[in-house]
Amino acid sequence: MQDEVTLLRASLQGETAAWGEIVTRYKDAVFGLCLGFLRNRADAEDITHDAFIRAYVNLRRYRLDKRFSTWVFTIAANLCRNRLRYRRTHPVFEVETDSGGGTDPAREVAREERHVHVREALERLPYAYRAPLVLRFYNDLAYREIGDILGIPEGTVKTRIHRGKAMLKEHLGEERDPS
Amino acid sequence: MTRWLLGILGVLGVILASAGIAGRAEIGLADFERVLSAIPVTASARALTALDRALRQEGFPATDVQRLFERLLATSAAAPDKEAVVLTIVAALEDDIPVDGLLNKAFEGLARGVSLGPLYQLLQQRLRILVEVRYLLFGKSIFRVSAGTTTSAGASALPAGRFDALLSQLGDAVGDYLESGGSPHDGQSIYQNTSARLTNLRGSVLVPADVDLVLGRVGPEDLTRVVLAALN
Amino acid sequence: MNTDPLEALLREALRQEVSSLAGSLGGLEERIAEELADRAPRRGWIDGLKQLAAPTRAARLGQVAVVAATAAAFLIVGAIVGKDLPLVGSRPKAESREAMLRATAENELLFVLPALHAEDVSVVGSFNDWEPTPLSDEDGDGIWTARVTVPPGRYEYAFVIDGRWWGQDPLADEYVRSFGEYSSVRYVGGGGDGV
Repeated sequence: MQDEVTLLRASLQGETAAWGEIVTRYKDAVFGLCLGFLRNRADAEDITHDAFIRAYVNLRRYRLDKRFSTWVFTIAANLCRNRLRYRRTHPVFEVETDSGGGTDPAREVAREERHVHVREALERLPYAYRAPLVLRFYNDLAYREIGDILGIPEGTVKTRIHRGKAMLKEHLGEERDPS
Repeated sequence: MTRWLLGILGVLGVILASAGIAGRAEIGLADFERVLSAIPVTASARALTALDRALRQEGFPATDVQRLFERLLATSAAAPDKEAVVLTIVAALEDDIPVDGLLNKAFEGLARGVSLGPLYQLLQQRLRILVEVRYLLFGKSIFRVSAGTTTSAGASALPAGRFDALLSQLGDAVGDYLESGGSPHDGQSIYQNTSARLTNLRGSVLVPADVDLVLGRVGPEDLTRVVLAALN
Repeated sequence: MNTDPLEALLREALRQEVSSLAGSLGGLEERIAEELADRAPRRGWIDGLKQLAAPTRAARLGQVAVVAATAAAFLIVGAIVGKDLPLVGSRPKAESREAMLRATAENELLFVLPALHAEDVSVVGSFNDWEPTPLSDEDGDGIWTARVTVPPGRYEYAFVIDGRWWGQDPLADEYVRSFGEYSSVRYVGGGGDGV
C-alpha cells in the first residue's frame, strides 16, 4: 500500500493511475459529504466527480502542510455550496425518495425507518447547521478541521453542532427512541 | 538636498492625507453644481440641497452619482428628460432612500441605449417600490436608526448602513421580478425570488441575522401588497 | 464511553445511506481518468470549448434551453471552423481551461467566453457601472477571459461581442430580464454565515 505523499507526487507528474488510487481511498468520504450536504443523489454524484477533477487540476496548489483530506473536503464543500446556490434558482422538482428495503425482517425495517426519519430531519436543517453535523458524524472530523473546511471558527462549529442536534431532536420528536 | 526633497514629500504627503481625511474629497458640491448647470437642470437649488446633505452622510456613493449625471449630460436626449432622471435620484436622497440600485439601473439603461423616457418610468417605479418596502419594514417593527437611539422591546433597530443594504436588495429583487414579467399577484413567486436573493447575499453584503430577521417577519402576502401599492 | 444516541443514529443513518448508494461510485476512477485524459494539451481545443460551455455537466445547460442553444451555436461554429485553425503559440491549451477551472480566488469574478472570430469582447455590469471591461484572447484560441476583483456581493452583467450584447453566460448563477433583454448574475461570497 503506497503512502499518500508518494501517490500525490506521482499524480503531480501526470500519473492518472496514482490519482485513481487517491480517488478510491477518498471517494466514499467525499460522496458521503456531498450527499449529506446536498441531500440529492444526482447532485452528490456530480459534485463528487467534479471535486476529484478539480482537486487534480489544482494539485499544484495543494501544500503538503495541510491534511490532504481537509483540502479535498474543502473543494467538495465549496462545490456543494455553489450547487446549492444554483439549485435555489433552478430547483429540481423530483422527490428524493428515501425508501428502505423490501423483505427485511421487522427489526431491520424498524431500524431503516429510524434512519429515514433522521435523514429527513437532517434535510430540513439549514445548510449552516447540516454541514457541520455531516462533517462531524459522517466524516468524523475534529472541530478544528470542520472549521477549516467551512471557513468558520472552531467555536462556531461547536455551537452549530450543538444547535443542530437540538433541531434534529425537535424534528424527530417522539420517534427518536434509542433502542 | 535630501532634506529639501524630504520636506517637499512631507508637504505633499500632508496635502494628500488631508484630502483623504476630508472623506469624499473626490467629489464635492462644486462638481455637482458644474454638471447640473451644464445639463441644464432648472430645479438645481433643490437638487444641490439634497446633494449637500447626502455628501455629509456615510456611504453616499458620490462618485457614482456624479458619473451618472455626467453620462446623462453626454447623451443626446432633451434637457427636461435628463432632468427627470436627475430629480428621481434627488427625490430618493431627500427621503433617505438608498440610491445604489437606482444608479445601477440607470447606468445599465444608458449603456443599453434605452431612451430616457422609459428609463425614467422604470426608475420611478423602482423608487416607489423602495418606498413601499420601507413602509413594510417599519410595519414589521424593523427600523433604521442612527447610533445612540433606543427602541422598544420587540422592535429591531438596525444601523442605517445595514437597513439600507436590506432595503436596497429587497427593492431590487422585487423590481427585477416585476421587470422580468412576474405577476404582481403571485406572492409566492415574489417571495421565492426575494428570499433566494437575500439568502445568497447572507454573510457577504447582508448580515446573516438581518436576513433571518426579515425572512422571519415578511411573507408572500406582504410582498404582494407592496407590489400592488407601488404599481398604483 | 457515553455515546449520545442521536449521534450514533445519525452516524449509522448516513453510513447506511452511502453504502446503499455504493453503485453511484462504481467506475468513478475510470470516468475521472477519462476526463483527465481528455483535458491533456494534445487533444483538440474543441473539447475545451465543450468543457467551458458545460462547466458542471448536464443539469446546468439542460435547465435553460436558450442558453444551451446559444452555447451549441458556439460549438457548431467551432466544430466547423476549428479543424483548419492551427494551434497558436507554444502555451498548452490546458492552461486556458485551467484558468476557468482553477478555484477562483475570493473576491474575484472570472469571465470566460468562447467567441471565435470576434474582434472585440468586453463585459459590462454592475461592477463597472456598465462600462466595458475588455476580455482578452492572447493565444488566439477563441476563448476570451478577464478577471475582475470585486467585493463580495451580487453582480449583474452581460458580454458585448463586437458591439452586440449577449446576456446568457453559461457560467452565470442565474439570469434576469432587464429592459427586455437577458442579463447574467453571479454571486461572490455569501450564501452562508459570512463563510
